[in-house]
Amino acid sequence: MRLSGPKDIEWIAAELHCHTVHSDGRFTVESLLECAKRYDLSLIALTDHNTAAGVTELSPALESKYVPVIRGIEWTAYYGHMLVLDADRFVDWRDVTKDGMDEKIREVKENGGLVGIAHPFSVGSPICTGCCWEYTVSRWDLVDYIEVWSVGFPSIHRGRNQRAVDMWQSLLDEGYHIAASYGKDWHFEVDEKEPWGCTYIAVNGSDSDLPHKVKDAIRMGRTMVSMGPRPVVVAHAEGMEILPGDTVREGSDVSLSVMIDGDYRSEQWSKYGFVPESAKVIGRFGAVIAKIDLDGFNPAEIVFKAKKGHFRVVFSGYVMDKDCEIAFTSPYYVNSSEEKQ
Amino acid sequence: MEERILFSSESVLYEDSTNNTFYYSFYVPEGCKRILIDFSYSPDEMEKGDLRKEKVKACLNKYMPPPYDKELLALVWAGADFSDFPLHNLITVSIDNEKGEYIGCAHRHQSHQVHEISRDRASYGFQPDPINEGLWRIAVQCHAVVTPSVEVKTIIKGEF
Ligand SMILES: [Zn+2]
Ligand SMILES: [Zn+2]
Repeated sequence: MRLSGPKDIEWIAAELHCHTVHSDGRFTVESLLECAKRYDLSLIALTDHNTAAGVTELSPALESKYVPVIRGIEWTAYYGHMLVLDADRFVDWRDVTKDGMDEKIREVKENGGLVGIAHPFSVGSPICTGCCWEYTVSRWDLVDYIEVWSVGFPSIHRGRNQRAVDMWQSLLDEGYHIAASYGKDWHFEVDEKEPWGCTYIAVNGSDSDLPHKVKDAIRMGRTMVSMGPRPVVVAHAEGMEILPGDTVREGSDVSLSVMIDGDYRSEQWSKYGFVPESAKVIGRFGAVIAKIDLDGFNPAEIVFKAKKGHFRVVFSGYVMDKDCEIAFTSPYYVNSSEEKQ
Repeated sequence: MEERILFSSESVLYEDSTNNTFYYSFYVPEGCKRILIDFSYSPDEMEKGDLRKEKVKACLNKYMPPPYDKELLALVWAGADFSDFPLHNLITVSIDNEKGEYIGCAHRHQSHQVHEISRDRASYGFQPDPINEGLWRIAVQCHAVVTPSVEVKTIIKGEF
């Protein structure tokens, strides 16, 4: 069964956090791209620690043979790791102080880059230097995304992941618009014993110039985070189809057709035994606005009234016989009726 | 082909040096075709023992608070033996050319690193550069010193 909306949108699978031999990965640039294609990913972001040297190896020929690439870097600073995608020029990470990250983020944004906070609750120094986010940020309005799920089986290994989701949720509750991403933090290919995820990103139209389309989509908040399968959410409000990142008015009737796509990239995840059980609409402060049981990979309908703040769709079920979350969308935002659109 | 030493330094970093960047300038004369960087630090990791175990536990306790990591923390409190858990020093270098442009960095656990930069090729982590005459800069990023002190040696040579 397929669900499709009127918008000419395709949700593609991307891995937004990758390393190569240019930092501490074992992938060469080409082997990373080859692996990404084999894993049915449509795009990757190359984000080596503190270097963009890998980017000099990219070419249109290489990218068309394998997958297109967003040029990036992972700021591997002393009190946090930050993903910077497609900035027009290098912004120096070396002199950032614990209180100085706002200024750096502003500089990256002024140069056209996207800013994402990587694995904010990983174990930090000295076990993993700078891996836990400890920078003071007040300009969360400039942050495009947070890597709320990372590495293997994120909804079971809750330590860093649940804390990251909670942090994201409270920023959303404060009124910030921030997309979510998954990061495999890919360094080399391993025989995966546990499911791993990807970020699904909504892009318009054809495959041409995918990196820029993906960049725009992340900026607009059009992402979904999954442990593998692609969620499908066709949302309508105020007579229009809406996507994550869009804003509707408080009190609007929202109708959702939701399902987990049982076919897309199934070679990558079906071996882990996914059984979708429910879809929930989560609002401000984690309130459950609506919930519906799912019959496996079949679609279901949810109708509710938009409440002020934001809402997102969360899919749960069983994976490897464990009761856990499977995927979720980035938020849809809700303006209170007095506010102008 | 002639090889000349452009810069060398031996310094000591301490635990308190952690989370700081130390910058050094070096002069690249006209006609230099290739820059070779030999960077090393020692010791590489903290010796096995109670002190190391305590450091590992303290780090896990700090970054894995309950309730999220109850099970893992239980291991910590139950006296799980972290004797074999290694703790490494991590010091990396980055290079800027004479225009102040960032040439790259080799961010990996490797206590002895040899890099080269020339017009046509560069070691992993660095971008090729035409190598112009002027004051270049090497930055030593001290991500972690877990030993009481660490000796850092840098030798930069130019090929003409
Ligand atoms: Zn990282
Ligand atoms: Zn990383």
